[in-house]
Amino acid sequence: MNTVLSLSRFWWRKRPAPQDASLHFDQLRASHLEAVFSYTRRRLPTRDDAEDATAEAFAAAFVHLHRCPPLPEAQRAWLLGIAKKKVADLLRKRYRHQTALLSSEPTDPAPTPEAAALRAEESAELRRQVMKLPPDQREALLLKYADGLSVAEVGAVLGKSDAAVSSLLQRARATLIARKEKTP
Amino acid sequence: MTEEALEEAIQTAFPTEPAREALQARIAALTPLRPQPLPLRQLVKRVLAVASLLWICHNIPAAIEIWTPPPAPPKSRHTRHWKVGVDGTYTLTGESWRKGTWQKSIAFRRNRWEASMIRDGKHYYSPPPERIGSVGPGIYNLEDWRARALNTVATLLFRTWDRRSVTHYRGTDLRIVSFTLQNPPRLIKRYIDPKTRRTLLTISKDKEGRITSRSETFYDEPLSDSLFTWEYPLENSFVTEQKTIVESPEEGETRKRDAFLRNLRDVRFWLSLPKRTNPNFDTGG
Repeated sequence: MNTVLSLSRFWWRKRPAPQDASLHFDQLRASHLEAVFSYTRRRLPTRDDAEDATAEAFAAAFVHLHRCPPLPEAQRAWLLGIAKKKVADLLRKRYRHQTALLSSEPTDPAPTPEAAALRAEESAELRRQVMKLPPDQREALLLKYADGLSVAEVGAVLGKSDAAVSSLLQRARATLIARKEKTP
Repeated sequence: MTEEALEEAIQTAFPTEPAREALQARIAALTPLRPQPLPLRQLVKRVLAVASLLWICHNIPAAIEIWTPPPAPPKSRHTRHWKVGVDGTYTLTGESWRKGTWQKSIAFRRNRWEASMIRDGKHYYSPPPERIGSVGPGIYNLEDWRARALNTVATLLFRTWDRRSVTHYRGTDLRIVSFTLQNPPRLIKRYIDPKTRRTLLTISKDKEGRITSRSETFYDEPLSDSLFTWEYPLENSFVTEQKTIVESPEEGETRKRDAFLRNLRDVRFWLSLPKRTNPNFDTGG
């Protein structure tokens, strides 16, 4: 049955010409590679994993290039949606999901060893608090504040409405602030 | 904590780094994944494989049916048979088979109807008991497993279609099997219940398409001890009034002798019964 489906798809489906597809894909890569890599890097513990997930996301985007939306903002959300699935696949294959982000090391250099230690401790604590959030809230929070997406783009990646995303962000912020005030 | 402070703290807690040139080159090296057109030979092979798979799959229910246990034999069987004569009159005969032998019931006295009734030129009478053959259920023999396996393979691979000429008859979908006989030339249609493979209705027609005989058979399932009720056919109902038969003296003597012998036989038969437990004893005949 799969053979029949693939044959029918091959025979009857309209696809862009190869030259157009390559050109379009080059534009996508130049515009959104950094954003996709940043997204995967923030969610995977090692750089190699992030590069693998990014490459797989772009390969999948290349195969399904005919589904790419025309607007650049929507294109970024579409690519991040693919990257989200690839990250989930990779985490499922290689890591236990909860420990992956906690074990990743920050690469941001600090001016002094003391400041670096303090910042590392604060960052680790915030990371733990973020990881304790429900998955939807966590993902919305990271997309909004770490990846810098708008509410509409976050909704496009998560498949939710703007109101739902705003609600998720509100609840995540409130939870984080409440937990921060509780800790001495 | 303000929103800006939260954003800064999260970006610090979840850091990132620029993509390397190697990753850019890796992604830039992606080649278009366009399916290449299959060679004709490969295409034919695939189409044949898919068709074979579909063919075998659509035969699976029929193959499974071979291995289902045969239906239980009926507890009883009742047949009524009309035979149409050349003059347009028809005769009605009946058979009743129960529990492996011919049942002697009050409804069918010694497997026949005693009364000979005449209405509108149609005679209802009973045949002598010796003319009713003993018919047991013959289709319930188990085939051996080799035959079943062979039939399964043959069904999976070569079954084209069943005879799908199915009619709806008295709440049952019946399969029609028709065949012709040469001497005398006639066409016989059998209406078979495909579930139990029992022949429920047999209609025989002559060359001109006129019905010469018709047999209906009712089966009682083993778990139901049903009572067979006789239905008179073709929108006719019995009346007690009988035609006066003009007969010659010889015929009268013969009829009287036959009636005497029949009565004598009846008396000997009923006297031979050990106990009269049937409440319908006096209602027959």
